[in-house]
Amino acid sequence: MARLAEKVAQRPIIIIGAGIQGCATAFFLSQRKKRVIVLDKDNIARHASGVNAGGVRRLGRNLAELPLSITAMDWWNKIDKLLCIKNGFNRQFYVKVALDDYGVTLATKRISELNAAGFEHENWIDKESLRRRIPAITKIAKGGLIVEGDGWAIPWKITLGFYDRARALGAKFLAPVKINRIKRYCDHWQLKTDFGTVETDCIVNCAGAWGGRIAKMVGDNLPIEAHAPMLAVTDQQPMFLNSVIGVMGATLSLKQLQNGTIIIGGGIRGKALPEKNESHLTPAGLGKFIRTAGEVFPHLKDAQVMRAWAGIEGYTPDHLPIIGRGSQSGIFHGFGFSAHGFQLGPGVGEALADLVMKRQPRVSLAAFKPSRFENDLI
Amino acid sequence: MSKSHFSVAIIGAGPAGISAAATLNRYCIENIVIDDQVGPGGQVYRNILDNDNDKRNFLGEDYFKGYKLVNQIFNGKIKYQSKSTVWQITDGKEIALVTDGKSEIITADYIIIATGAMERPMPIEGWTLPGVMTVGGAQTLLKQSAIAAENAVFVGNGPLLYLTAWQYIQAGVGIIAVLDTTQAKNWRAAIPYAGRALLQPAMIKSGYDWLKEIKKNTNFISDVKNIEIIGNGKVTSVQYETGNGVTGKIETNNVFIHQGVIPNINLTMATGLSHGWNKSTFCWEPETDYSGKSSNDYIYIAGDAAGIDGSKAALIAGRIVAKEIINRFQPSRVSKLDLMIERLRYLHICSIRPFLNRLYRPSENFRTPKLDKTIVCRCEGVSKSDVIAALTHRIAGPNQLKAFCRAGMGRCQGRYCGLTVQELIATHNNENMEDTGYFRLRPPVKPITLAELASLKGSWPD
Amino acid sequence: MFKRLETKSVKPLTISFEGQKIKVLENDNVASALLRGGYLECREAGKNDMRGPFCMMGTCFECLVKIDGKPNQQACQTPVYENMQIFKQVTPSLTIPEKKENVDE
Repeated sequence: MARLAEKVAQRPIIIIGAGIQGCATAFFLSQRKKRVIVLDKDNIARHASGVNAGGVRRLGRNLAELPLSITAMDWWNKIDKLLCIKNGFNRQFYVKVALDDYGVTLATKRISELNAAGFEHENWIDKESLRRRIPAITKIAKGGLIVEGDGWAIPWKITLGFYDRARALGAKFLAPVKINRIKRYCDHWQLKTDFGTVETDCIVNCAGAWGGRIAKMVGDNLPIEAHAPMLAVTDQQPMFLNSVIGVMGATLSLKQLQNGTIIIGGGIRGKALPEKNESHLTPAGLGKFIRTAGEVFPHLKDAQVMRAWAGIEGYTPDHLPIIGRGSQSGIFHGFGFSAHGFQLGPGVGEALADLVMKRQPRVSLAAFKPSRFENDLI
Repeated sequence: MSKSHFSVAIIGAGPAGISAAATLNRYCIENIVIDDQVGPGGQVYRNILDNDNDKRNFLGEDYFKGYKLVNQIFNGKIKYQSKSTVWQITDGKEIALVTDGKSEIITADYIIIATGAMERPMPIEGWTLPGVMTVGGAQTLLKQSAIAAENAVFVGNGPLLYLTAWQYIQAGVGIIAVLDTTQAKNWRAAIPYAGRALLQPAMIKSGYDWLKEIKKNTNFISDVKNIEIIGNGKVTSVQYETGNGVTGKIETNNVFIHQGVIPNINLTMATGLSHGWNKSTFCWEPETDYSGKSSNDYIYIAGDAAGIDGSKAALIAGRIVAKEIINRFQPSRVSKLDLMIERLRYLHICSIRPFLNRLYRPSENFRTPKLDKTIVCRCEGVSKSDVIAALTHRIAGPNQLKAFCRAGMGRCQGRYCGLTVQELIATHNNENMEDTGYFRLRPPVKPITLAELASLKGSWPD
Repeated sequence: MFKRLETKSVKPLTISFEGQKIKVLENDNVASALLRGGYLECREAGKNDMRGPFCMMGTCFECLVKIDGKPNQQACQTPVYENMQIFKQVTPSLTIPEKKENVDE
């Protein structure tokens, strides 16, 4: 009997996907002395978690995500210590600029909506204060929504940070490895991979844009679409910005790194071909968000785009992530972050680790439950 | 608004591009030739329409033979758009380009990429000093501006180096020395290919004549295996060592370096076309079938952009690709016999290539730097030791390297460091070059300003 | 030093580099004009790291200069014109400048 119990206790937890969600979950579980193996079909931070705009923000989130985002922000404020890295989080402020009356209206609505729900982190910043804090901003800016303490990070640095720490605490990572089949066998799961068969009691699905495919293998039909939000990086520019910028009512995210280069993104989509691991840029789409950048910072006229790219990201119909138990025993999902999962990562990792260990997560995950899509798919 | 759809769009106004355009024109297929230079001719026939045979005959007969070809770009149905830089080709048959600060998107039924070649990086110590230029650069200065550097040192090997040195001598410009890096053992290794090379006696004679003139008029030092360019803020001397252990130091302010040409793959790779590693020429080439078609059904590649076969071959390749496209518009418009003859011509003209490739194969002494301090990535100032330090992180390939050092992230988008970085990784990981792979290249193929990009959607905000 | 091999009957022009006037010819490009004028360097890549024209074909981006206020111009790709004002390209400052007090509107 003791031998059998021992054998059962030896089965590692399998996490599928080595993006930030998978690596953060692996980290928290390993910290709690659990045996973890992470499988990835490519390599660590290969897709969205390696190439996103790196925004670390509470600003602009769906209300349902705010508790999780705020919890995650606690981790961000200690990220150097957590991951044994330096300058992991560039803590600044984040402003969504209102360029016109429509933008101002949106901002006013947003503040009342938040206050009604008990949140006070987003405030209005008026035109003069905005221009004082960001001298280079366009003269036509009417003000904006500001969150102090939001900022940015380098996505691969943080994801690799979680990976390194998880490994140091005993987690194993296997990549590239293809999962061909997942089968329920007696009281546990068997994953048939091209490296052989792995047995586990518990699978955590953090497979991002490919999360739907994995979910199907374990009997869950969850809606996810792959898209490719585009980004660009410029040459070195004289420093003019120490905050992250968005635009009310338009798609933009813009920040300046310490080396003077500017990362411009926001979410305008190119073409995603997830089955080929390819994403294609569209010239017209690039033109669009670059022009929006020009509306906020017209002085950047002659800055040059050195490189553009697009990660492959998974989007759910309601743009809220899927976090929670699957329909079968031992299955947990954590994917579908719809282009805003990076900041949530540390919080999600902790919450998934709680779920796996049958503990109550610190925040309610009710808004993200996988079963919310059950009726839609019939 | 000007026309924005063409039956065929050709990128590059060198011999392959113009040859293709002229052929299409003969068969009445309207086409556009887009080129980023101020005038047609590519590299080999640069500035030919302006150059006067009397004044610049130091450039040699072969150069002036290109006049008639290049002039064809002004024929009938060819729209020639110069000073236009293509920055993306999409899989929707769109070409995004910028001309004079304004971007536009044009479409075509078929696209011919004829963007030619560039010089292989030669990362020797001191190569970033002012006063060091490529041999191709020296030749361009001759063709474009009739400017030459007195008492320069030529370093490296390959037909372009010998031709340019010969042109210098014809122009009466003194060269102090040619430090030839062809390894002594290459002569023997090239013997098996010599027979085929004899099918091109005129080319062999040219090469022989060049070398004879060079050896007569300069200090020609063979089998150089080690080179350092020395200077502080500018070149002051070149130090060298031969395979026999002979060393020397030459004082000079100008050094011209060259170790062969390679296809310029940035556009073809950013377009997502398949590429393969050529083991005998040590470089990446886009994969094309016998008709010049790439892995994409409507994109063809002609000339040195597909693989280095030289300008004479490029002329034929341009014709072949054009004729294949003509047959796609109208099956059998060009007969099978015609195409077969063209292909035989092509094979014939290429018969010297295996010999040249083996003889002038870039030596391992110069493909990657010897010294740790030597700059590998010029744009970002990344040295060999920086790359080696990053490799301690167990890097799978050049793209993971970007997380630890900035090699390849500069303006030239890996053109002058890609192969060097690839070989440093392959050596470190003990794997084949083709398994290591190359930088994942993306549009824009050349840096483009925010205003230029945004101009697709309207004028820049005030 | 670079020397000109012949001067066909081409119109001479005057441009300036770092405030110094240089005599050039109408069909020069900025890179050849600078080289002929004895200027081998045109760009600051880093501390004690000056660069000059290298490939002359627009692929290396070493010959960047500021022309009439516009930065990042490839000298080898830009034909000269009368009175062109050229300055070396320098690395940008990495500290945010103070906001000036008197801001319009």
